[in-house]
Amino acid sequence: MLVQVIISGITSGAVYALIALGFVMIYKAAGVMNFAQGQIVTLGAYFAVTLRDHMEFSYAASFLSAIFATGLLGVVLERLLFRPLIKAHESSVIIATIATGIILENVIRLVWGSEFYPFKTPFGVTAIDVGFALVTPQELWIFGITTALVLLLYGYFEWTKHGLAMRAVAINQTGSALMGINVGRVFSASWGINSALGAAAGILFAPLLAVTPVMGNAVSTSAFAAAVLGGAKSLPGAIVGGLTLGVVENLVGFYVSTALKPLLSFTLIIAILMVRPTGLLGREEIKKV
Amino acid sequence: MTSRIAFVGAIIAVGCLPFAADQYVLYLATLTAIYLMIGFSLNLLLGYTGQISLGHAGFVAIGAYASAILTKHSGLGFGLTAAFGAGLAAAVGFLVGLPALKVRGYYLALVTLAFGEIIQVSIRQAKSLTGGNDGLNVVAPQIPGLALSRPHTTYYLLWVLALFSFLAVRNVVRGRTGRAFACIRDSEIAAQAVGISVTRYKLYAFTLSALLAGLAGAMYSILNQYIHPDDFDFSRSIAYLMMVVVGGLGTLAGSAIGAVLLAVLPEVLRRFQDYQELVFAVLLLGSIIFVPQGIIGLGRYLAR
Amino acid sequence: MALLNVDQLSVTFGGLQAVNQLSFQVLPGHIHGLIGPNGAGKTTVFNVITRIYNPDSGRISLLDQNVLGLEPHEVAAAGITRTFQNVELFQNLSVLDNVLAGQHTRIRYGMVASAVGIRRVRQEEDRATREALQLLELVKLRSVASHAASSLPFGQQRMLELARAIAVRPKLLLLDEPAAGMNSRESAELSELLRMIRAKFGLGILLVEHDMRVVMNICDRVTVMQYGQKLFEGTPYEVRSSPEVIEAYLGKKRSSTPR
Repeated sequence: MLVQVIISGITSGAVYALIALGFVMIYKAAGVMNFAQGQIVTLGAYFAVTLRDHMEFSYAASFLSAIFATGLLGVVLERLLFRPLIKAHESSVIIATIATGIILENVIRLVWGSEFYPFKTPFGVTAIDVGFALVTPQELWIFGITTALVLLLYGYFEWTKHGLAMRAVAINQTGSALMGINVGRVFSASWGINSALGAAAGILFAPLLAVTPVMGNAVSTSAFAAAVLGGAKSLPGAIVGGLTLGVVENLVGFYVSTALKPLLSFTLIIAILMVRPTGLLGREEIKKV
Repeated sequence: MTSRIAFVGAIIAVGCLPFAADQYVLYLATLTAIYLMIGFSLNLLLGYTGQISLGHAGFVAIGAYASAILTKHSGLGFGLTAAFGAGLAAAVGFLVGLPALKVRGYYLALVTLAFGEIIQVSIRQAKSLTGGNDGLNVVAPQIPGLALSRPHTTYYLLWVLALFSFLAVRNVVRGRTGRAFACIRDSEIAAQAVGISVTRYKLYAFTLSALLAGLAGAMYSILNQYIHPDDFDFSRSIAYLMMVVVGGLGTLAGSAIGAVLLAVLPEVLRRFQDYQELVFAVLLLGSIIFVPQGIIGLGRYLAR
Repeated sequence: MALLNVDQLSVTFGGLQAVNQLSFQVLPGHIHGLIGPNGAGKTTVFNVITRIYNPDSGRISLLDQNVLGLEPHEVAAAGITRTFQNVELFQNLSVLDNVLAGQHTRIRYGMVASAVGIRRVRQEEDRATREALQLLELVKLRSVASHAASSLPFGQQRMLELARAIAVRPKLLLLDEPAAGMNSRESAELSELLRMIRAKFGLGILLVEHDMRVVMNICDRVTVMQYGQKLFEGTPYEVRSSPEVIEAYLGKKRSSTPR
């Protein structure tokens, strides 16, 4: 039974890791924490469910289209709303992303209504016996896709020019600009990737949660906690944090009480920031005076 | 000079309103006094000291529930129970200020967000004490000689509290403490260099801000004589942000404008109740991007 | 007794030795220059004195008080304050408020007193404001007292930061490259101003500076740093003529035999 709990913990952990990766990426590249993350996750799921159940797309097609559409939305949001705020005080950006998230959530509610949309998994529901536990095809799919996306992301950073540019901007914006890197485009790209990853997470999670206007919020809060746990500027940290939090959450939910699960993320955030703000894998930054 | 005239004018208007207005307008005006307190509270923390607070409704909740529960179990007068609510909120504010010493910006936003949600969950879970999701009926507290269930008395009482709070906050803001707050907002390192203890003043800011919010909560609890966790959720915290941002951060007059806006807007949008949160968020976003100085800033700019 | 005594100060960052066994003294009433090529560790010394960084070893005392035992915000009350390389003003405050902020440790009332509004508050504020306006007069910024600090041109911002630092009434004033970006007329004016401030307020000045005109003009003594260590120390004239200093700045002389 314990193994079972851990496995579903890894599954949700994988989804958290996906969202946390996008979250950390924006924070590293643009210095912004995206508090509209939850609503972007939700939006991705809505796009997919609409394409699939109302426009007869296949699962694969709706998955890809929804990710692309949400990613594009992320880019648009960056250009329209957050680019003008580059020079503003941090609290302005924080408030702007929160307000954007609320606007997105309300728009979702207006367009799609407040009832929930079930999202059927494209695979069967019969669990597969992998020897030490039972795993559903959806859980395997989640883990597989997450691994694939993480590898893609790794390849992007290590081997493409754009990925290198993003890494440069994350280290030093002014220096990168002086080297001819279009910093604005990097910002847009980071928002685009963040939104695409968030959408993927939403679609992967949808069969487990059902699609509602608030489905992305709780998941994203856990992802925030995971990012902080791993180190908000550490991409490997996002993965480690996500998986760890997923497992711990499930253990707490199973052995203590499910009502405490949301409380766990919040308490964890405060605790980590008090004790070790840079998280497990993060490094401290020193401001030069 | 104009501000002094405006101030006196406002006091006269507030004093005379009950004789000219119906029940409903009176209710909104009483609510405005409460929002004014919250506006001062949040402005002090965010506008003057530059510390973001995404869970401010949590402090209001503590004040509301603490004073309501104390009244219920002890029958003490409103003065004492409100002071208790405000004091407890202040103590919690101090505790929330402690992480603020170590983290800033986005991390602080996360901490305050987490705080607000922890309060929410706690209130809903502690059913036996708070009534949980059923809400809590608030006994009309006693002030010797006054029967508080009459809307007029409540109105004047809350506005007197709001007035004294305004005077206190204005004095603090204009003096050495307020200057220290603003210095911390503008440059912590320079603040240290001139001898301002960033630690001490950040804790002052959080404690004082929470005190005011807690008092506002106690005031809120006697308004409808019923409180519910939904009155203090994240949506409310955002509404409070909207109030101070759209009104004008860093100015007390801005809080006043924001308070009126927050009280009146839901009424204007009564038909479009579903759109209320959307309108708030759009106002907030629009203000941050296009009119960061708020309505007050816009007014000053146009006056030049 | 020395005003400032820096004794065997060593500071490392990660693997980098920024300051290495540095010792020097600033005598009362002196303007003491701290010069050296970029990366020599000068600003690091400032940052340790003002307690932004912790040293690995060494001692620093102001008269007979141990500076290293102080918290960053206690340094001002102890009698040391500074200006910054990249001006750190309170941008959203008025020019006057910036100087009033400098008087924070010398204005005597607390938060509760100001909330209640006792008479003392008014008295202290009036006194402080009069003093602040006089300081602004000194740096020729009195006419813009009510303007936002952010609206000032860079040169005036530097002067404002100087006025704010003086408002602290320090015993020792640390100035980080005050003449940077100034032309010869401006730096001459600055030299005069610093001499006047030293005389009028009876303070010592420790000056990090690259502009040799200012250094040679007003410094009583100069400490030259290189690679975190003291290379040479003496009067401006001695420094100017020292072969080691010349070599540090200009490189080794190739050959002295004429061809």
